[in-house]
Amino acid sequence: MKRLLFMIKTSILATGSSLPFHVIALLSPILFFLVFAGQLDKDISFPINFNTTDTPFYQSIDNYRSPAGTPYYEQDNNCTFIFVTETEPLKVINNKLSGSINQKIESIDKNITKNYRNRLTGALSNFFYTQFPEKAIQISETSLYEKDPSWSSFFAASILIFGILLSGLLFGTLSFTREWELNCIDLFKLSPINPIYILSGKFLGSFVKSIITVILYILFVTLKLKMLIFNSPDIIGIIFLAYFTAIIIGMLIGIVLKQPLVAFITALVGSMLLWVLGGGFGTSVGMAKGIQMIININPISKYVKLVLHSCFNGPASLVDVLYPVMILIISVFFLYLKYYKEIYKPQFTSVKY
Amino acid sequence: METILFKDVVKKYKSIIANDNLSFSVNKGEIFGLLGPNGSGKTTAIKLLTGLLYPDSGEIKILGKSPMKDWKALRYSFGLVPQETSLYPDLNAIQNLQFAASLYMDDLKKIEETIHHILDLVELQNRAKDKIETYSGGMKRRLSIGRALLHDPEIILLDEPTLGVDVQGSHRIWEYIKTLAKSGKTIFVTTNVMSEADYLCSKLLIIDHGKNIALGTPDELKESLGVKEITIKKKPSLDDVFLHYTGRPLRD
Repeated sequence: MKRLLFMIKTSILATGSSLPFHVIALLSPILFFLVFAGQLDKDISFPINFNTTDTPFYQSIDNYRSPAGTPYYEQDNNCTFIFVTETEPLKVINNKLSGSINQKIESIDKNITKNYRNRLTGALSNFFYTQFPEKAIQISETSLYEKDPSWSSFFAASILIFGILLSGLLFGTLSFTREWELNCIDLFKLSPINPIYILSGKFLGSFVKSIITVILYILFVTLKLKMLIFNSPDIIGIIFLAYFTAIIIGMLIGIVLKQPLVAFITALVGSMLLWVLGGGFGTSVGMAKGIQMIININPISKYVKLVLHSCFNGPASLVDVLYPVMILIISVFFLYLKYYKEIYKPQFTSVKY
Repeated sequence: METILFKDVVKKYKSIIANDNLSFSVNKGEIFGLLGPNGSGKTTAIKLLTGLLYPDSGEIKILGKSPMKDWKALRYSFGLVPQETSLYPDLNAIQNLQFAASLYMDDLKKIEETIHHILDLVELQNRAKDKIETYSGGMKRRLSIGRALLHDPEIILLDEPTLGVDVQGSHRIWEYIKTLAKSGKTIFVTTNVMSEADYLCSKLLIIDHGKNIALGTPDELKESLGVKEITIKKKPSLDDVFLHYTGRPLRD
């Protein structure tokens, strides 16, 4: 126990020499959350310059709002890139919608065009529905979640996995690259102590720092959202499982890479790629088959599913737990093997003894 | 039985022969010096002794055991003071020793007592709670020596222990080493500082290009030059001996 405590203490106290890396590991998920989720925490009203404002259709647009009450369109006479003109007033005659609308978008951004077109289609549908509610098509939606999470809540949950990946990989990696950097690795190479103790000490040192990082992230997210989305007890198990794997793989990388800066870049790029290709941005429906296959075999997609299940009661199965556990067991095996061969056991040359 | 036996050891790094049929033996309580210019194979010899490297041929025995076969057991038998001090700059002396103890000591019950004893020995008790980044080169060397003593090994291996240390600091380190030898520990030291070898070592081996050049006590080596042939009235210094055997050109 004392041995492990000394190792944990060393790991935490030696943070100073790589403080910038630790700060980045802490801030990255928070900044990521602010960028991706913070800007989407409210419904957006599209500015529109509607040239004809005295028709029934224009009046109905004012009532065309999101469930939260935010208007989808907002009249803005200064808007210079979107003009809508009702050249022939819209009417419903014999259950048919007729009329003519010109939508002129002075932008070459396909995404903007698509978004405005979608909202105009919605506005037309809404107009038709308000005119003939009994004739309107009834659409029944079945959501993935019991209650659809907001964008910001969804990202807060998903980015938790990115944060775990980044800090776990980075702290695990630094726990060995620091030894190479300070030429302390020979101390480990000559240690008579069983590698399991040493690897456990290194792991726990990184784990303590990682847990501090994730607690700070959860606190920040909770304050920003003004609600606790990580409120199910199983989130603790998910965080532990994800950290165990990330730190173990990070330690393995640290033994191989040896240089802190290379390790940092690897951890940052690696965690970003794994998270994006693990469905961190949301559903993979509609993506190319190859991408869907990568997402399916990427264990990170299982962690994302588990977190979404924990936070929003999304779908998850036993495989989503067993697969990451299997990856963890394999990682532990390879870490022990690498440490034993590279550090614990003396280096072989040509002569056999 | 010799504490250390090194017999006809060859170690090659691709085409470079670092140790070329190197042979020597060290007895218990002896301070044995391996003297050679830069790149002569001194650090390779230490790495071979510790089992950090394996030889291409030859025989190595420490306390009658092979570092290749019995490496696990032998790691308790020696303490290494590496050329670079390898200390954590953010930690203080006690914390550095605690961490090293967690790597080298089986029983940590008396760790605090051991650490204070070692800090007394290397005269760092009054700076024990200062971060290593505030230490001078000499202080780091002393702590590095102290760290090698934590598990009370029988053999201490020192790789250029006074490298970059001033004269006063060097003399103090020599005194520690002599004290350790008097307590029965076997000391193996590599150096290219003549005064260090002269003052410290009971037996010396001069090597160059990884080969044995001359072996004996410092006095025997001085005598081997033939005092009458030197015009200066005083005896030749060990520097003279060293340069006689290894030549004057720089080896960088």
